[in-house]
Amino acid sequence: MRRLALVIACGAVWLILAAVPALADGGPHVMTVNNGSLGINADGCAGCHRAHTAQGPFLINAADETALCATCHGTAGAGATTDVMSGIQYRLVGAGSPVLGALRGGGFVTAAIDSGNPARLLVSNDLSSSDDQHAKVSVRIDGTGAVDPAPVTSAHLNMAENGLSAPAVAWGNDVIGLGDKGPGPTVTLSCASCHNPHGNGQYRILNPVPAPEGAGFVPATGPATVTDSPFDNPDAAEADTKNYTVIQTRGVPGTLSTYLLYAADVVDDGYGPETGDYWHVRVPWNTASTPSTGADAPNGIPANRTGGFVAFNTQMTAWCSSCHTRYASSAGDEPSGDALFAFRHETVGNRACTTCHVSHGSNARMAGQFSSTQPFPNDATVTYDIGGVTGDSRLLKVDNRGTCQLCHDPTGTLADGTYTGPVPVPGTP
Amino acid sequence: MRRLALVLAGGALWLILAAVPALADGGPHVMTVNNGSLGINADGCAGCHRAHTAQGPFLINAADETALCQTCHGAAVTGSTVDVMTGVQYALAGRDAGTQLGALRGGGYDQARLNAGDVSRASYLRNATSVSQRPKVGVGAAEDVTSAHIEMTDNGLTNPGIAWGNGAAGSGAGPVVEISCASCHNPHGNGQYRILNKIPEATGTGFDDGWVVDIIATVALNDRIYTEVSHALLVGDVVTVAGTGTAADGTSLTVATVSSNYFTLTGVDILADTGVGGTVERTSGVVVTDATLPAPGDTRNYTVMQTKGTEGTESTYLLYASQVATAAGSGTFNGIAGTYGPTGGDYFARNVPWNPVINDPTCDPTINAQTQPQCATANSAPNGRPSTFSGQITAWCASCHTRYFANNNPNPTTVDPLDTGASWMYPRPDESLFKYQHRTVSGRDCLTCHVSHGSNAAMTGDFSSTYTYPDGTASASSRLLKVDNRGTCQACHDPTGTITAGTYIGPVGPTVP
Repeated sequence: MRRLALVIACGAVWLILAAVPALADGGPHVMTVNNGSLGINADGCAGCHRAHTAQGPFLINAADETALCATCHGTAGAGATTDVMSGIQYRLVGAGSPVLGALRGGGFVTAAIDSGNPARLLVSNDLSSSDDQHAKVSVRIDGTGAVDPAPVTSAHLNMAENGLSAPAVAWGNDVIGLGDKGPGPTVTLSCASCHNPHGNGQYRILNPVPAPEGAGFVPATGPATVTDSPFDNPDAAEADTKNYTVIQTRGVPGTLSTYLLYAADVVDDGYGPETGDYWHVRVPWNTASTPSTGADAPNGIPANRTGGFVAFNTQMTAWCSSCHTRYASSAGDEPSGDALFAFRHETVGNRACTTCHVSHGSNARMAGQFSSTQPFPNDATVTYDIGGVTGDSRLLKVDNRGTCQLCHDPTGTLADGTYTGPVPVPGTP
Repeated sequence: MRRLALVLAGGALWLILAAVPALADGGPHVMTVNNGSLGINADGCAGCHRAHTAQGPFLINAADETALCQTCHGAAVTGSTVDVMTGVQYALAGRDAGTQLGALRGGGYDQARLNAGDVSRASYLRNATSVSQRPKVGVGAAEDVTSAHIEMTDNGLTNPGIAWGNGAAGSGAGPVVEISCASCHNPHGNGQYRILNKIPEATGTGFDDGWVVDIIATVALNDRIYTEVSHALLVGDVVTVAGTGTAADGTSLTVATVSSNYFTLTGVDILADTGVGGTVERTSGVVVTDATLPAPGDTRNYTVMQTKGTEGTESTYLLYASQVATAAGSGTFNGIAGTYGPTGGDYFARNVPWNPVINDPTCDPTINAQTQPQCATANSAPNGRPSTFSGQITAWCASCHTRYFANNNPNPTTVDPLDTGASWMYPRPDESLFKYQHRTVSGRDCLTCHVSHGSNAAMTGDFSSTYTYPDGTASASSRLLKVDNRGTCQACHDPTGTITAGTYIGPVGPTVP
């Protein structure tokens, strides 16, 4: 009887959550509400916490953080437009709502990255100009043109839903240049390791000092801020829900209204859910960019500019490096002093972490002999079956090592201007 | 004719009571009078009882306890300065609105005056790096209550009638019970703070008035008896220990020392280390110490006004109505300036004073508080005993709401039974409902977040208005919380980590107390 009561109680909670109308962007994650700035009367606490009957640590109303987040951001969750499990943003909260687009981070269970059909226009077949190539990784669609997510082959979280069991190691964590620091500490990662669910004004509410649990983990000594776009949609007639998809257009630095920062902007401009570029090394993908324009800018800040604005790529890479400390590199041809992370691909400019990797999960397939057996930095090789192939995709966006090829032709045999990829050539965004 | 006589008698009684001048505190509720210590000639019995013509159970002269209590403590009567229906204490029993002393700590059963929608919060550096909060819930206008410990026609509430959390681990949400004033209070007096029953009782099948905690180990070296979860025992409690197989087993044993998860017994020498278990049961009930009775003609201060005093020197605390009335006129008490009129006081009472900066501008909230000892605040102490009140009152509330008391629970991932941690991190063993819990220790005791009688806080938010009781039923009840929605949480917590020390949020011109 007690179990039945508990099931009924849980069901009641679910129904309550499911019935909650879509809140303004942020939902319960709005900083100014939760820090009391708008008055000491926030309601959102009651959405996730129980003072005396909590079911999980930190007084959450679920067995663990992931389960709690999934009540709104899961496949069956109806509380948020962003389904981080499926890798999709919807236009509205609720079952049956039209899809807005594919999430930038992919998804923890499925992702809609067209990893097998990248497009590349070789602008300059010169190593020093590798970052000049025009490349695009489109959104994966089916025969009808609908967004078509596929099971992920790597994710930042191992879950029963994705069947992954990658080593739980914060690769490269610890100070660089001090010899043999090893591959990294074993950690336990959860949603709140990276995100502050109470809001903090940061892009994607990222924690300024991400700190997963784990003995030996060395947190960053200072905060890594990633500037967010304004909370309020400047168009008062439209919702504040942000655009979390890969759909971007090049805007005018300093004029936020020229960027697709809000979901309503995507709809207003008529971009369908199948559009968008996962590679986003430049925006749009097929146009030359300058240091001050055209870089990836989901927050509307593509480059440094007066007023303390720092380029998104710079901030994002610095944030990822808070945990993956020894991956940050300004020059790939200089030894770091670390025994394991000795020479590293540079991660400056548009070679940001998020150029090659997604943050949540990727469906790229590593079927090749080498790609499928590449060991992790601790020499662990993932050999379990992942969607019919072996090989952890390491959150990369392209099958095998197509990620490398989107910038490099190391043979030097292709002429400048050579296009490789789907026909017809993918459009923009 | 007989009925007419009865009505006339009842009316006469009413007039008599209405004309009774305010007695020395507590009126007819004085222990030493009613227990015969002062002579076997008490008069108070006749104020409430009839031997042969009683109208209610226990020979009371009213239909039920609540009705009887309301004859003096109700809204439109004059028998007591304490109006628990409206949540106000008057300066005189004459109940002239112009003679209000202040708002009652417990709120009221029909109305309450918590300024629940306009809370103050001042942020400060509690150490070199960490920011903490100093909240205040002031006194506001009278509003209908949105939750109360007793449902009444007057307040129009419909309570589930469940003693939430009562019972052993795994016993469900709690038993269905009926409570009345005398469930919590002994109207005859008993020397306790607010004449609280040492063992509160509720009427209902399955209600458990016992306090039993599992023992997991005894240690010979220091005579400590370790409990599985924090035990809430207090020094001086009388307990029965059983099943340890050590010298600790016995009845009528007195608790000598306590820590969160262990205790020692007076005169008991543990001769061997054991880990076989056992139980400890508190048999003496919970003592909540009261201050000295007021002088004849005076009453206690039952309002939310408090000042920081010197423990052991009762005169430094606002314990009596006369002190509050004097302070209201002079604007100062014991050298502490403040607003001591009817709108003075802090319902939250996490710290006293709630914000030391107000009376001492040298108290800089942006500087490590530990380097400013002159700015130290005290625990809430309406009885003038800040070192013990919090633990006592929490233990008392937990007498009924057994599984709400929480401090440290065992680490479920280790085999070491003495490895414990915060109840918000480690679950209560063998419990699926009251599993992870907010600690209820000093500064976070029950009365920090909840009032005892009734609250007017408004739960209008989407989540707060549909918050489920432990049995899963949704309700917009304010659960006796002191702030609208979940402002109670925000009074202490900034989970965004973005509020800096020195930040003030709330009404302009906050005052003390």
